[in-house]
Amino acid sequence: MKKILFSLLFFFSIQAMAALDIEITRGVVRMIPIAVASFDVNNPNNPNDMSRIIANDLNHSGQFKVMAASQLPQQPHDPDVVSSDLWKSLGLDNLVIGKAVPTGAGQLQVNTTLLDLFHNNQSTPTVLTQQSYTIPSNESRALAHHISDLVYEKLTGEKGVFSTRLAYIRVTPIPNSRHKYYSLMVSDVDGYNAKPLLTSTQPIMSPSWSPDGKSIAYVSFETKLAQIFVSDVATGKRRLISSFPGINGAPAFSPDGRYLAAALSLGKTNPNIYLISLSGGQLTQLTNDSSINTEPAWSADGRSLLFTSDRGGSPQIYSVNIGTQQTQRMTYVGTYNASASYLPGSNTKFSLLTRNNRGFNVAIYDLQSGTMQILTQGSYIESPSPAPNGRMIVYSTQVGGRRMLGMVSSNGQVNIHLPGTVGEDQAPAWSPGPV
Amino acid sequence: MKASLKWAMILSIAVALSACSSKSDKENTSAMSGNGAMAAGVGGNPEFEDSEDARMAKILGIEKNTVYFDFDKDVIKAEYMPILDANANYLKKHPNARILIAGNADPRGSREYNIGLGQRRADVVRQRLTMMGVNANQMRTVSYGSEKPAVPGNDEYAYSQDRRDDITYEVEG
Repeated sequence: MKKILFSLLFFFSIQAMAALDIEITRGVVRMIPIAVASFDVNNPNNPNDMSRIIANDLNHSGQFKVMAASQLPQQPHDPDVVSSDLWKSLGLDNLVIGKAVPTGAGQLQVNTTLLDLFHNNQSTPTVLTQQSYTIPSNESRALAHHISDLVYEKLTGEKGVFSTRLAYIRVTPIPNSRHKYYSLMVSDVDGYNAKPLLTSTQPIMSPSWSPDGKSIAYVSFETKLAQIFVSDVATGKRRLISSFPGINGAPAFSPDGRYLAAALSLGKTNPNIYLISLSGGQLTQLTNDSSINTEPAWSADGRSLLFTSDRGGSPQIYSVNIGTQQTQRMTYVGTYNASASYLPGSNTKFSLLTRNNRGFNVAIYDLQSGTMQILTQGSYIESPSPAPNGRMIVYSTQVGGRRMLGMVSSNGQVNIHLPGTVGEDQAPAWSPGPV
Repeated sequence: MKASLKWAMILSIAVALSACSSKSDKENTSAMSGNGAMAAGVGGNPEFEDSEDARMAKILGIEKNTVYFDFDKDVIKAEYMPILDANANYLKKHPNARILIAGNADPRGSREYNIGLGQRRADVVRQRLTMMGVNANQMRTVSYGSEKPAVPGNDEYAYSQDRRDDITYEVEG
């Protein structure tokens, strides 16, 4: 097994990530070789250059082999001056060029072109797409992610997820105290632009996105007891959904956005799976069992839910049909399986947390073959959450005693860590996307 | 009643995080006007009840009002019975007193599954105190799962300190 560890330093933004570690865990087949030339006409070494953000995104995805900025032989800004032969000789198939020019009044004029170097074997490259934008200059990161999505879709045929977001919980120590702040954070998918939606001195858990990406459900212990809230991401305005005695946990929006599935114990010891109507608050009980039943995860058609239960003695993944309320055990491999989510676009594969001899790791379970593919090589991993295109899975792990987010491609070939600058990052949830 | 109910502070709620969905590439400039103002006040310093917990333990004649559990177990070990005796005697003598029993798990595995494990530990102490004659309405339970580890780290000692019930007096009576 080939194991390469890059440590790439970026200094795009002061509040964001100190470093990004990309670990290619297996020999990768058929990555598209591409380069992204500088967009800055005055300073090709500008660390905040949009080209760096785009290169970073494509590198993250596991689908591209991106040439390092320092290796580029030229920094062309105009497609007319690009010679295919020079770039082809470096082993590249595609080249992204662009130009970002301030136009006064805080605006930025951005042009970008994606070039195919091999089309028709000519020495002039073929333009695959060409776009121009005028944006406020403080939105260059968002536009760079958007350009990454364009490139990804043109070259892979699938929607990119670079403009999606992550929700997660950041835990930071309170100075001179053994207590902590718990913050519900929302960030760009590369970890930048992290902002708190809510901060509390009691735990916050289990963020879960609404299907339109506008709301996040979560568990807050701000009264010392568990309650489920839904917050509007744009305004921060929130609504109390569930405040029953005992466990109010693991909220999950239905695909139509009308219900939350949740784990409620209603004053008893063991939680069962319920649906909570978001319009009227009515409860529908889906499981009736005297063991732990938690972590409901919807099927795409909204007709069934995966959930975790230890009714068989150890935690395993089960499914419950909402119409018939029949339950069925899904996993028969491994002694501890939890935190399942169907991979978007599939009703036969789901990501999950499984225990092996190293500890807790991200895996994909295939219902058709009954096999489990373990994707990570960690020990203290938790909360796997798949991207809306199903190509990556975000999770939380521990590196050097510190909890941080990581992402692994669903083929297991690329693994990335996203170390935050402060505190411990846990319980990530990937937002829905344009898929 | 304690000096205050000490609700956890909610420090910042209104954070404008507007979406940047793009309709088409040519007309997306207005749609990308995201990331507006962030109003994130940090407020004052929170108050904590540690010293009151220690004072209450002294009143009960115990060292610490905490019951520890073995791995994957919710059985109360004999060595913790004096702690339950002390709480039962006090609660029966002070019918207005109210306790919160908070169950906890070690940090391994699924956070929500650990909530279930912590609730079992909280409820087993509540049931035992009920059998000892404590009125049910003097007690409430919560599970913090693995969200409030007592000791950081990933060794057996840390885990053994994490698997616990913390009993706190919400009303001393």
